[in-house]
This record gives sequence, C-alpha cells and structure tokens, in this order.
Amino acid sequence: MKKIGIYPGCCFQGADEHNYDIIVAFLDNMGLGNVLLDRAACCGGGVIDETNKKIVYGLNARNIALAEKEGVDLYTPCNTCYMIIAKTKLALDSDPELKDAVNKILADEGLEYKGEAKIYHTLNLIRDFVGLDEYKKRIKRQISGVKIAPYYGCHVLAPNEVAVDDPEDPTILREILEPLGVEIIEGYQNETTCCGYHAGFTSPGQKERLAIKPLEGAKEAGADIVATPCPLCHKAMDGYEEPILQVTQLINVACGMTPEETHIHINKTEVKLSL
Amino acid sequence: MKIDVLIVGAGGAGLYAALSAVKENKDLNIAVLSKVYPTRSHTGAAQGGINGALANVDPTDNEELHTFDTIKGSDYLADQEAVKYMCYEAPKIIREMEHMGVPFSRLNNGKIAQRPFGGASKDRTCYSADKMGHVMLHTLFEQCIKEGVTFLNEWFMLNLVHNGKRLVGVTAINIATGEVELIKTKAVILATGGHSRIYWGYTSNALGCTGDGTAAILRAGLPVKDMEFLQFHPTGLRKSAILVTEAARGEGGHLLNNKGERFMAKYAPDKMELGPRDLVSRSIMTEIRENRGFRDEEGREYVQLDLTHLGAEKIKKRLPQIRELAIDFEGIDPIKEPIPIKPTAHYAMGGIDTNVKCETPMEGIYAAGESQCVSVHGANRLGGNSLLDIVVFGNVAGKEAVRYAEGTDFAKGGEGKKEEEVKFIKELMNKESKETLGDMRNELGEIMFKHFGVFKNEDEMQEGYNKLKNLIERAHKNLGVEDKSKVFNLDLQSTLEFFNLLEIADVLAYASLQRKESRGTFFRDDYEKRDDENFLYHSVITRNSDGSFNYKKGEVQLGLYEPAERKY
Amino acid sequence: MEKIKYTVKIKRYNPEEDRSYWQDFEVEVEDSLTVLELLMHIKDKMDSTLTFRAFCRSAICGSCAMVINNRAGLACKIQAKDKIKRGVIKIEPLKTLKPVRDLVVDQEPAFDKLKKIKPYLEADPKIVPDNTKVESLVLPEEFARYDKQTDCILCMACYGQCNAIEGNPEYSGPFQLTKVFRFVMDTRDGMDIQERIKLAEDNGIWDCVQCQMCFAACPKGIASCEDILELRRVAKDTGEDNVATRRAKFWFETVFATGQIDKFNLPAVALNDEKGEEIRNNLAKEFTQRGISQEHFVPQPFENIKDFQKFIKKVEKEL
Repeated sequence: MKKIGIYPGCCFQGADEHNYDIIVAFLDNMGLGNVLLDRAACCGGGVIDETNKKIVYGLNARNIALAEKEGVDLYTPCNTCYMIIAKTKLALDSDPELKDAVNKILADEGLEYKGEAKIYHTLNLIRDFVGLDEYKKRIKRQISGVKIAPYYGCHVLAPNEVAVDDPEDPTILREILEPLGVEIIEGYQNETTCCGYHAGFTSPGQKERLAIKPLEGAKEAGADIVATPCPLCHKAMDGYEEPILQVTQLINVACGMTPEETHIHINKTEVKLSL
Repeated sequence: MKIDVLIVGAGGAGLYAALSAVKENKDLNIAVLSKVYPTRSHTGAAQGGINGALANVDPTDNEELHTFDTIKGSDYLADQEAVKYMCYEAPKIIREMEHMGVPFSRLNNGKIAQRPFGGASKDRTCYSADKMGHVMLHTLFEQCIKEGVTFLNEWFMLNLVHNGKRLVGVTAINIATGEVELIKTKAVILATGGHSRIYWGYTSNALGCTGDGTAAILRAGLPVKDMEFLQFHPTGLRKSAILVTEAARGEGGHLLNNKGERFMAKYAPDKMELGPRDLVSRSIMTEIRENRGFRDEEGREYVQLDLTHLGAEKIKKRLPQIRELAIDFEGIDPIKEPIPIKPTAHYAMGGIDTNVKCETPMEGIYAAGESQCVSVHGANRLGGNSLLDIVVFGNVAGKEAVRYAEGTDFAKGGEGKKEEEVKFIKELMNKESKETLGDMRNELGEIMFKHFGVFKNEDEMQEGYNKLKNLIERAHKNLGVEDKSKVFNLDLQSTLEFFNLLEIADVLAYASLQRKESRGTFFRDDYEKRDDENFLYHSVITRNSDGSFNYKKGEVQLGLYEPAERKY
Repeated sequence: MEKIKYTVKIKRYNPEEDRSYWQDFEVEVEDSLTVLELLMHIKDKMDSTLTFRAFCRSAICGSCAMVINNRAGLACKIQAKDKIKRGVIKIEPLKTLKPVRDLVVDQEPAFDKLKKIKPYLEADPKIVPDNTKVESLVLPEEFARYDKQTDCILCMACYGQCNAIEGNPEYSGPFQLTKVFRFVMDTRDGMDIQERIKLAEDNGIWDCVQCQMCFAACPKGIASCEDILELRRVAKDTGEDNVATRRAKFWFETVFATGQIDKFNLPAVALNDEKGEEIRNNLAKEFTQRGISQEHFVPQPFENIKDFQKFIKKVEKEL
C-alpha cells in the first residue's frame, strides 16, 4: 500500500480536531496508508516571521526532513501550511548554502534535509499521487441534485512557483468535484478573492468583509454549497448564510460515509445533502 | 491657469529642475507638466550608470580627465567650457543625489561603486546594478513629493506661445478630459526628452520619445542645433531593438561575429569592446555588411554579445535587468547563451539650441536634458554622460528659470492661440483617415533607418529625403483621428506625436544633407574623414514660415584641447 | 515565423455611457508577440479606439499593468502565446482602481496613498554628510537589505490584485508598504523609526491578509507580503504592544514550548480583554460538549521537545 506522511498543523488541534479524522478517513478512502509525522512542528503560520524569518526555514526544513526520515512524502490539507512548506522547499533547493547551513543544525537531531520528499496538498495528492482515474474508481455513490461552487482559496494558487495548478485557469477542483455527481457553479463574483482568515486577529472587520464576499457571490450564482480544500478557509467562512464544506468531507460522503461520520454536522451553517 | 515656472517633462531633467526651482524659491508657483506619470519617463530605462570622477575605484581619476574623455568622445564638436562645467559638477551632484537617497551599488568600504565604460579612460561610471536611471528617477520623484512639487500628470503640451520678445505661455491638452488650455507662465523649461522614435521600430526608445518640445521649438520659429547627430547604440536586442546596456561590455562582455571572433580587435585594438558607441556600432554594421554577421529565420541580421564567460553569479548581481530583458524579449538566458544584438537608434545629441545657462534665444524659454543641445556631447555622447547631463543642466535650468520668473510678470495675450489649437484639433478629429497611423509610423522608421542610418551617403539620403517629403505631405493630407471620444483619446495624442516626429525627421534629414564629412556618430561613406576646415561648426536651424529652413553655422567653443584624431 | 489564431477578450469601459462590457477580437498574428504588441496590433489594425497605457515596452516604466487571465502583470513583459487558454486571452483593467477608459485606470488614489506614508528619505545627519565633498558610507550588506525593494516601478500590478483592498478600500496597498520597508531598512534614513512604523500601521500593515497575490503579480519579483511581515516584526521589536504583537510573541512562545501554537489560549492572550476571555470560555464549553478531554484543549509537547528547543535556538543564532 502506498503511504503518505501526514503533517499535523494547527488545523488538527483544539476546536479543529475533527479535521484530523476527516483527512485520515479521506486517505483511507483513497486506499492510502499514512504515517503521522508526530514530531513535526507549526509551519510558522505567517506569524513566526514576525519573530524571525529564519525560524520559518528551520521549522519547515525540519518538517520535511522528518518525512524524509520516514521515507514518505509530506501531505497537508491546509493551503497555508502547504504554501509555506513548499516555499521553504523552493528556497532550500535553490540555495545550497542555506541548505548546508540548515543541515548542520538538523544533524543534532539526527535529521537531514535531502530535498527528496514531495509536498502534497489534497488537490495535487488526488491528481498526482492517487491519480484521477484511481480516484474516480474509489467514488462509490453520487451526491446528486446539489449545486457546488468550488473555492480554491489563495495559497494553492499563489505564489505561482508553488501553485498546484495553472493559477490563471485552474481546473483541478472541478475535476475532483465532478465525479461526485454534483453540479458545478463557476465564474461567480469574488470566486478568487481571499477568505480573510489571516486577518482574523489583527483586523476582525477585514476578515468578516472578505469571508462573506465569495459566499454571497456563490449564493447569487445559485450554488447550494461552497466547497474548499482548505480547513482555514472553511473555518473563516463557516457561519454565514451560504454553507461551506471541505472537499475531503464531500469525497468521504461519496465514498460511502455518512455526513455525521465526516463531521458535516459540526458546521455552524447547516448543510443538507440529499443522497 | 497661471504658473510662474512650468517644467514640461518629468524625467530626470524635469524633476531635477523642479527640485532646484522649488529649493530656490518656495514662494513661486512651480509645476511639472507631463504626458505620462512622472516615474514612467524614459530616464528610468537608462541602465548602465552616471559618470563622475569620484576616484573611488581608481584614485588617479579626476575631473580634467573626464572633461578630456568627453571632448574626445564628442569628436571635438562639444563646447569645451560647457563640458568642463558638467564634469566638474559631476562628483558634487552625484553625492547630492546620494544624500537624497539614491541607492547606489557600493564598494566594500561603503563608497559608491564605479565601473569601466565605453570611451572612458578610468573606472568612472557610478551605478546601481543595471538600473541606474530607474533608481535616480524614483528618488527624484520621492524628493519632489517631499518638497510638495505640483504635478500636471497626463497633460500633453501642444505649442509654445510667445509674443516675439518673450514667452507668454504654453497650450496643452488634458488627456483625461480632452480640454485644451492656455497655461500662462513666466518661464518654461522644456525637458521633453529625445526624438529617436523617428526611427520607429529601430529604436531603443520608449513609444513616447517623440521630441514634442523640440518640434514645438521649431514651430515657434526658434533654433535647433546639431540635429544630424543621433547616436546608434551598438547593442539593441535583435527583435525589439530594446537596449542592452553598455555595462554588459563594461563588465567584460564580448562581441562575436559568425566566426566566433572578437571582431573589435580589428577596429579598436586597445579598447576592444569598450570603444566609443559610434565606433562599435559601425564595426558591427561592417561585420554584417561583409557577411560575418548572423541572420535569423525572419531575415534579421545581428552579431552576438557573449556574457557566458562572466558566470552566473556576476550576471545575476551586476546585470540582473539585462538577464531579465534577454529572457523576456529574446527567450535567451545570457548565463547560457550569447545575446543576439544589433545597433539601435538611441540618443539625440542634437536638440533645442541653448547656451550653458539653458537659455534659448527667446526670453523665458529654457531647455534641459536630451531635448536640449548645449552642446556637451558634440557628435557622439559617451555612455554614462546622459544621466549626468540631465541632472547638471536640469539643476541649472531650474535656478535660471526661477531667477527670470522672479523679475518678471505674466505677459499678456495668448488666448487666440488656444482658439487656434481647438480649431485645429476639431478639424483633425472630423477628418476621415485615408491611411492608418500605424502604417505611416512604420514607413517613417523604414525611411529613416534605411537612408539616415549608421552609414549614410548623398544618393541614399537624397532618395530618402524625397520619400520623407512625400510621407509628410500624405500625412497632413490623409491622416485624421478615428477615435472621436474626448476622454483619454490616445489616438489623437499619437497622431499629434507623429506630426512632431515628421517635423524632426524633416530637419534631421535636411541637416544631414548639409554636412559633407564624417564626425562621431554621423558617418558618410562618401566623405569618410572628418573635415575640421569646413565643418567644425554647430548646425543651427530655424524653420521659416513658408516651411523652408534657415541654416546657420554656430561656432564651436574650443580653448582647452585642440581637435586631434580619435583613436581607441 | 508562425502565425496563430485566437480570441482576445477585452473588458472595455465607455466613460461617456459609464458602461463596462466585454469585446472579442479574433486575431491571426505572429506567435512571438507580447500582450502589449498584441494590443498595439488591435489598435493599429482593428479598432483605433481601444485605449491602454504603454510607454517603455521593456518592463521598466510601469505603464501597462493590467489583468491578464485574472492575474495582474505588465502587458509588455508577458508573451501572448503563453496566455492563450482554450483559444482565448482575457484582458481587463486593474481591479481595485476605477476605469477611466477601457484598460486605463485612475491611478491617483494609489499615488495619494503612497504620499501618505512619506515615501522619501529624511537624511540622517549622523550618516549623511552636510556637504557634497563626500558621500554617506553604506556597506554592500547594508544596501542588500533593501536592494530588491528599490526595483519597484510603481506599476500597481500588486495594488490591482490586492485582497486587503478588496476588503478595505482604505487599505494603503502592497507597494506603498514595501516603500515604508525600503526606508526603514535604509541606514541613511533619519526619520524616527516609531514614526515610520506608525505610518505603516495607520496605513494598514495589520489589514494585510497574507494572500501572496502581490508577490504573484509583481513583475520584479518583490514580495510585499513578506516586507509587511518584516514591518510587523520591526513594530514588535520597537516595543509596540497590540493584539498583533502579543499574538506574535505568544505564537513563538507556545511553538517553542510544545511545537504547536496554543489556539485555545491565543485569543485571550492576544486580545488581552474580556472578549478574549469570553472566546476562551466559549471554546471550553464547546470542547466539553464535543467530549474533548481537557488535556486536548492545548497542544502537548511532543517527544524529546528539548532537542527541538535546542534546534530553534541554534537556528536563531546560526542560520
């Protein structure tokens, strides 16, 4: 069985503990084994930079090195963790001096950053690690009669260097949702604007205004549910009129789980799926 | 609208003039009028650097050597006292800009770094990687914000208005609204840049380098000087003619022909690739003419500029913008492959005739920068001297204009001129076009490059001049403006710019035919030698009301160095 | 030279009628055109009323920023053939500025915001000499701190794609904050650092959502989003005490202690008020309801956390 290393970010923690169950079930449904990288640490979240940017390189070089030690690639469902870890990998792979310097320090823990492990997010994991054909075979039932608006969030499409798909014309989310039997609503207002999650503390009003925009756009275009791969977008945008779910939750349902089993009932805005 | 001192153009000369004017007298109403936002100006495209004998790298350098190199480079057509003034101001004004915040590249001891450049006897060119003009322009703009300079952004100057004795104002069109205004002003500084766009399609210059101020001077009956001198930069990109800075050679780049030879060994055995621009351009064209160049699928001929031996690190650090340009516009990474290049029309030595105080013969009208001809560049400008020229004379113009404005009041009249402009534009807008602007601009470029290019001769030029006269006639007869909107009508603006180009091409062609010698960048097959006995003079031309030209010989101020043969 | 056929879909704006509309142009052109050359082709050959700014055509003047296939960039720097998606290139004006006509937008508001942050050097008399006999001394490594940021050409591509402006039109904008960074880092600048930081704060460093779009848009590869994080760091290090700096400190402390951020206590610590307490109490209630055990409220240190802490200390010191 192919195995993947689960990177535990803050989206698996506390009030978001259920996200861990969701992705373990998802990997199981995809026929993948997993290793939890339990000594991995926070990716920095775009906040550790405010202490010292170098720590971000150190943390994520170490996170990747932990996966490499286990001989697995690294997987995170979180857009932000994905972007920060992938960006670090780019920096390390293009700067031998930085890589050597990090490795010198990593050696104390018996770790080494080799640059072999790939960084996966749900979207490229399905396309490149599972394969779309295999993915389709694993879908057991159709979620029909529901209109879904795909919402990528920012960090899987920007910066361009780490984008999981063509940032100008991404299709991967549609390709993943279509086999579930849902109707896809695209081209809605604010489809590509930010959920505002990262301004939640520093500027709550900013987060509020941004979170609502794509939801309203999707609702206006006739969508029943917005689907995002990112647990942070989900958290930021849940609780308003238009419901939002994680793509992995929908996949789990299409693979035979009940909505409760994949924590859809925890949503602040209620979701009704007709199966 | 009334403005005490109006500066037209927001490049390095215009912004420096504005700063020096504001610092000179804060109580005056001083404004910069520009057809683009200030930081869009073509100064920003200057890559290599600015010359000044700081002697940071080579302690034996000094202002006198800089003066001599510039005069020699000019093929002895420069006014020597003016050159001396510029070169002695250079270290001071460079440091002045450093104090304003210009981010220069630095030596390990913290001083401003300097590099070798074509035609210079010492490492004299101060730089900021390969984006010197960009950082200078932005720093000057920042200082203008600090000093509270007023800007009229996206206004297009139409004409100068004078009463035969002194300036009354200028007419201009507000691009956003299409309204024509008479701006009454005591003094105007024309910092309107060069006119290499007459070589449309064969020039490194921005789309807007259309000599608007120079053309307005001609229409105002005022003189232009040395118009036959327009420099071809040796290294333009093959496809787009976009510039590859001289710094690429300054940092050690090689020019190669199709045999892989560094052909400059034949033409400038001492200086090699660092010969002056006119010589290097002719050398490249000679290689191409004698079938030692390359030819691509589309029939474009070129030679190679090879940087590969410099190594990735040096290219990335010293020439990052050049690498980016080569990748974006030629699809070639200079770290891996040589860059295909050919000479490109680059810089107008000629322009509005002024003295060293930036004064034209008309009271209240000043000029600075590339639009101006003092002359400090004579028949050929050295690389790194144009960024210097624009700030040195921008500074002078700002101070002189303020001094004049302080002692005078607004002149009366001018309203009639505004009515004329409105009527002219209305007619142009109502006219149906029988030919397209795009085609005509290309035709102008073809005529100029073929007949008034790197090499010239009597027959070719005569033929070209006839074609040009025909084009001018057709343009005035056949060209209207198809876009009828008042708001942001760039079709109208481009048409007016094209008329300016035609005025300038006409006078440049005329001036070229009069000069029967070769000097600096002006090279004729049929008169290959410089002829000091008959042609050591500035051509000074005004246009008569019937359209004919009035040609005068202006004295070249020597006095420091006797003209000698140029060898590199 | 190969010719290719495709559709150019342009979002135009007619100011006389105050109306935006999409217009398709079917072209057959050489495959080597930049987007700017493509637009010039359309203007020269098909529709002379099509209006767009352009000047240097070599990616240094910043005139031709626009949105191409939903991403802001410079028309002159982008090869058209790379942008054909299913036979179509989509071109629009920058999104966060009002159109004046077709692809021309009103840049004045963005320039006004630039002016607000005092975008100029205030010479520090301790570093910058008062005469022109000598220059100020700046070591190459000192210049390196803001070298990249001086590449900014004010093209506004970042501004035209900025999500923080989407959420708050008063937000200053990425390039403006990069300019603050540039002067904060310049050893020659004499403006009080607190004043520079105050300018950055008043103009929005805490409103930035870190979406990375400014970085993706910048034709010069400047990452304003990262400059903003650096400004936040400087704000913290210069003694600023607010929700963001408290968050940053707590974030580092808990990651250092356990490897993970303590999201349970974060609101109370960062907000440092009743509302923060209330959030913590509500979380506790929710956790209990969901049957989450008390020890899972906060992250527990992973195995051999001491080694991790040594690692972080070493990174801080040696990397």
